[in-house]
Amino acid sequence: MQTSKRDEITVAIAGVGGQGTLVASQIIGHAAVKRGFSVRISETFGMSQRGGPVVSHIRIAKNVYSPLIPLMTADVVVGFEPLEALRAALKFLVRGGSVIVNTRVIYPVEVNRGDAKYPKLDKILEALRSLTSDVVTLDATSLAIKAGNPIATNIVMLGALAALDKLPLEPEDLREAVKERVPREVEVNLMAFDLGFKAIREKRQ
Amino acid sequence: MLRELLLDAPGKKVLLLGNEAFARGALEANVQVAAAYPGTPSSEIMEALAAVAEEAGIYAEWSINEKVAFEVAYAAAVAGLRSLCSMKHVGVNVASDALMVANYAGVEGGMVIISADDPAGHSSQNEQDNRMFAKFAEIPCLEPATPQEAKDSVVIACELSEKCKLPVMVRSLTRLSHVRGDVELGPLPKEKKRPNLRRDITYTGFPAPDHHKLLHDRLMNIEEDLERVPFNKVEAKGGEKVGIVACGVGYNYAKEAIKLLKLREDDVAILKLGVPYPLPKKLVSSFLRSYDRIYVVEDGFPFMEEQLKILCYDLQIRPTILGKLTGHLPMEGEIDPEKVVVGLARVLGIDYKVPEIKVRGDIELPRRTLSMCAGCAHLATFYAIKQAVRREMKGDPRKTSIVCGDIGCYGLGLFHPYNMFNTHICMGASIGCANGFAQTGINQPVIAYLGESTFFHAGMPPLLNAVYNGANVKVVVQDNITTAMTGHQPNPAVGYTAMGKPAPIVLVEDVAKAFKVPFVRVVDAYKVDELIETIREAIRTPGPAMIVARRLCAELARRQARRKGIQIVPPTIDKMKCNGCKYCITQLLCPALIWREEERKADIDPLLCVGCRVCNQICPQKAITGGNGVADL
Ligand code: SF4
Ligand code: SF4
Repeated sequence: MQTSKRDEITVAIAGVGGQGTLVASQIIGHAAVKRGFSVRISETFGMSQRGGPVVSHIRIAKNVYSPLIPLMTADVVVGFEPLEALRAALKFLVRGGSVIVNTRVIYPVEVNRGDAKYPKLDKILEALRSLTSDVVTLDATSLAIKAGNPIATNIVMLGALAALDKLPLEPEDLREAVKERVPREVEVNLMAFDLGFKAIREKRQ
Repeated sequence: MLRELLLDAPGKKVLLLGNEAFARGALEANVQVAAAYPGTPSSEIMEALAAVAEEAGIYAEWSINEKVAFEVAYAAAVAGLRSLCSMKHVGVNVASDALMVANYAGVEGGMVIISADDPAGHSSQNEQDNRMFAKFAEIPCLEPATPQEAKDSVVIACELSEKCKLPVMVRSLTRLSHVRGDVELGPLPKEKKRPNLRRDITYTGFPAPDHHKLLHDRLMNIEEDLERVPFNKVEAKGGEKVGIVACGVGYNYAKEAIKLLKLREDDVAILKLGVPYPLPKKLVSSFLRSYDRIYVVEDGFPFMEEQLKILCYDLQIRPTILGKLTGHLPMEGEIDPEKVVVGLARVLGIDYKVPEIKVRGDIELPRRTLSMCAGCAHLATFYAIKQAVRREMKGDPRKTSIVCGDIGCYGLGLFHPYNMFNTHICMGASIGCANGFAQTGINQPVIAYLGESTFFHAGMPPLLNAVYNGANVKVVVQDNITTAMTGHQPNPAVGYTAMGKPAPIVLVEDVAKAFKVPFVRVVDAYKVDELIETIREAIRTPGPAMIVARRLCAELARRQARRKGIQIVPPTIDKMKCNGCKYCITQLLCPALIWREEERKADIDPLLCVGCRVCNQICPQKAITGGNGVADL
């Protein structure tokens, strides 16, 4: 297990529209600006609001330029959904970087219609491990339900990211930012954050 | 966000969305009247302004369309106040009728038009570059590169506008409007201005040649100011091999490309241009004179590239100018770090390959195309239209009817697997095109499909046209009581304004009745059979018809159900009765309806389902029953 806190980091958060990737990245960005960093956050997604793949590009440094992550340069990929984790990791993860995956699957309409097949979860994880040895999994959705609201899956993932110890921020910075940016259901969210944090800390010890 | 926008703390850094930064800029610039029609990627500008307008003591509105928004802002500027209107790129087309004379007529207070362009058409039907519009209208155009500059651009644009008495355009891009970044706040003004309309001047374009001349004189007046706009910046030591001219957001990619190629600082020089029209000629000329090879990085049309070539002709110099026209950047789509780095490598003669993305092993990644939301009333209405045509015309609805689409979430209906529409052009064109199809004497039902916000924006004139000219069109308005696609802005059907004040509710059907549409019916979109039968009846009745299929947007409905304490319980699929025909999945296309391959039965994702009970009504086996949720609102 490596912990390499740096003063420059690129994170891609991948998920399906409606999963709250944007809120999660805003929380990170807010915390980073408070720490005096230059920040860029972009979302790439499709035409409507939901249902399609979404990637949040988060770049934190002294000076950031491109609002989009250049191919294969993300230090961390946080996948809110397994298939989207792999899709984003192939494109953005620097080989040997870190991946966190929520194991709960959301089927594309194509799969439900029978036009395509959803790969087996272990196949997806295997493909991820061919990109990097540092792949951690968790059932974030169940943890969010445990915390009190499945919507808080994004905050569970944020806690998990904090536990990786790769951001140039302290977990407490992120907890503070959660409180400031999502003032509704603060307790549920902080619980979600802590559950995600613990899940990864335990795995990485 | 709201807090940050009103924060009176000059020098403090906050995280803002590009569009929020524009809004903050408007506040810092002392803009007192702001108007817009929502459109991605521009909407958050007015959303942010409207949210704080009352507290900030300014006026903000969602206008009925962009032309009206422009005119509202224009009049305020004529009255001496600073004003802003914002819109997406195609919105400027709608506003252009006014813009193309307002430039002659001029303004007193500073007036800013923010055009949010959308290269790649992430949420648009085209890739038009509105720097061309600025040039067409002969008004100055600024192009900020970062959220910080977005904020500052509104202040600078207001000052320029007041100085030259012309409206000033600020061009944004999706990649600026929708980027979050650190922004250092400036001071907020302490005093408001009072309107003062001079009655001795009439703001008009008459006589046209005189006013056209006036426009040119006014542009000339600010030539020096444009040279000094702080978004223009030269980064050069002299003697570099290549000079990059980078416009707006392109600057960020150019800097990234230099990093990716691991170039030394003195390998390339950069002219960062923040004023694409009219060109700051002195600055640009001296840069052009210093380099034999120029690489132009810009998003959209080769707008700078062409202008630079013209300028070189005047300067009698012949540097090699490389960019979109020479294939060093693509002519279509959005530029990104890879495209810019590949182009730069070619310009410099460096061997560079974009990393290749490969999947190891035998794994295939299924596509995930966008879908409408679970429980979306558009899905029910799509289904009903297809069924109505199928039953009435006894054949494949794609072959036996013409359906004209329009602009909104339901634009997704264009694509596989919905395949709803024959045409899909611009706001209001559903009814407009339907008028035309109906007059060709075609022997199929001609159906126009649109939402209520689009109807108010541009659907009313073609509806009246259908009545007046007797076009046999069947207009289906799916009224979801919000402008859903752009983030739920209110419209006249909703009952409150941008600033949250109560407003009279104007119903689509009342407009249709006032227009003397002979057949007007309102149906709950979740009552599938009733909707099908109503559409059939409309098809059978000659002449214009309107069917309003009403149901609140599923997203808002989910929130409302939560507030009202209505628990969402998905319907149950009786696995004994379900024969695995997949009718529910393939015909309704609700993304909450999922397929269990192991059992070969349909199932419902409890986290996605909103409990609309539409699937219950369509299962041929009557296998789906019960459920609770938004249907009960
Ligand atoms: S009730 Fe049926 S149609 Fe409605 S959201 Fe749930 S699964 Fe979709
Ligand atoms: S339509 Fe009815 S029978 Fe057919 S798959 Fe769906 S639930 Fe099963």
